[in-house]
Amino acid sequence: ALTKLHQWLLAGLALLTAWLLMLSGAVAPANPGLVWRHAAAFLPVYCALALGLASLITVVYRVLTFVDCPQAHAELVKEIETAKADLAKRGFTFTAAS
Amino acid sequence: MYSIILPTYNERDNLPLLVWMIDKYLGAANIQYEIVIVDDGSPDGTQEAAKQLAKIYSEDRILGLGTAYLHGLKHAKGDHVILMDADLSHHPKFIPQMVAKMRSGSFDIVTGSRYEGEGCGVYGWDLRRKVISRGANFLAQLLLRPGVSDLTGSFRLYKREVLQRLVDSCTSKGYVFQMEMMVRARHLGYSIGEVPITFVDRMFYGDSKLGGSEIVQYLKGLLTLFATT
Repeated sequence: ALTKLHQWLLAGLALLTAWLLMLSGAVAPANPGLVWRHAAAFLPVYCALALGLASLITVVYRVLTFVDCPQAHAELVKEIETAKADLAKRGFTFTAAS
Repeated sequence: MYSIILPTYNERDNLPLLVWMIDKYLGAANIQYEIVIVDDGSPDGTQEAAKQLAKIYSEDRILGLGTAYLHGLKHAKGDHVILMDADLSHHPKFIPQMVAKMRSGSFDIVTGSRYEGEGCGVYGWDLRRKVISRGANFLAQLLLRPGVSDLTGSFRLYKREVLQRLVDSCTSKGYVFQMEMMVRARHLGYSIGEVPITFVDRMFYGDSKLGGSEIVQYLKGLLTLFATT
């Protein structure tokens, strides 16, 4: 199987080929105006920017929707007290500090 | 039988509490277990605590060792192995859920996920920690497409032979080891189920646990996996 690196290199090669075809005019609309030529020339830049923006939005969204669980902490604290009492009864000696 | 392997370092206070909780929740779910404590030479008396616990809970069920991480596997007698943190950030109440998930889905591995699923969550992480966690996870998902939502998690249930095979074929350490195991597991064709878990971080190490060098190590490991798997 191909490594992820190889997969990315292949995909990159395919995209590069497509872009070069666009630049050379082999793949182009009937009357390529200035806008199209500009877009074609800067396509990789625009794609990179779009991907960067999408990534940033995704990570920000995931940070904002990160689930906090204070109740889990509260339950744990209570459970620890119960555990300590029970263990002490069963003969466990804790260190002086705990 | 389920072997719970606990790597410990200076967990003299947490270890008894964890063992108590394991006994409570696995007992309630009627799950046959043993606990293998693998202590890395703690100076705080962790091994002494392990001995006391073996007396209380029976030496059949609690074994204390002084060797390095995962050499505990040789001494584990169960046909399933659970790896988890020994500092109470992982709660044993999720173990019966993992067991049930493994049965119902016939999975080779069930991993806890802090990020996805009803009931998942984290306590004690500040904004910086969350940003780093989401950013690192995003990068790993993008580069490795692992099919597992929590790649760096360390609370997992394995079939014994699966874990043995993974341990034999993985070479990294720390966070990256956890990632490498999941990636290699997928490559070897093992099926992985997920159970949402809560992660309670009481350590509040702040910067020291996720400083620059940790991040660099993570990136190096990630790129190595990217280039070799």
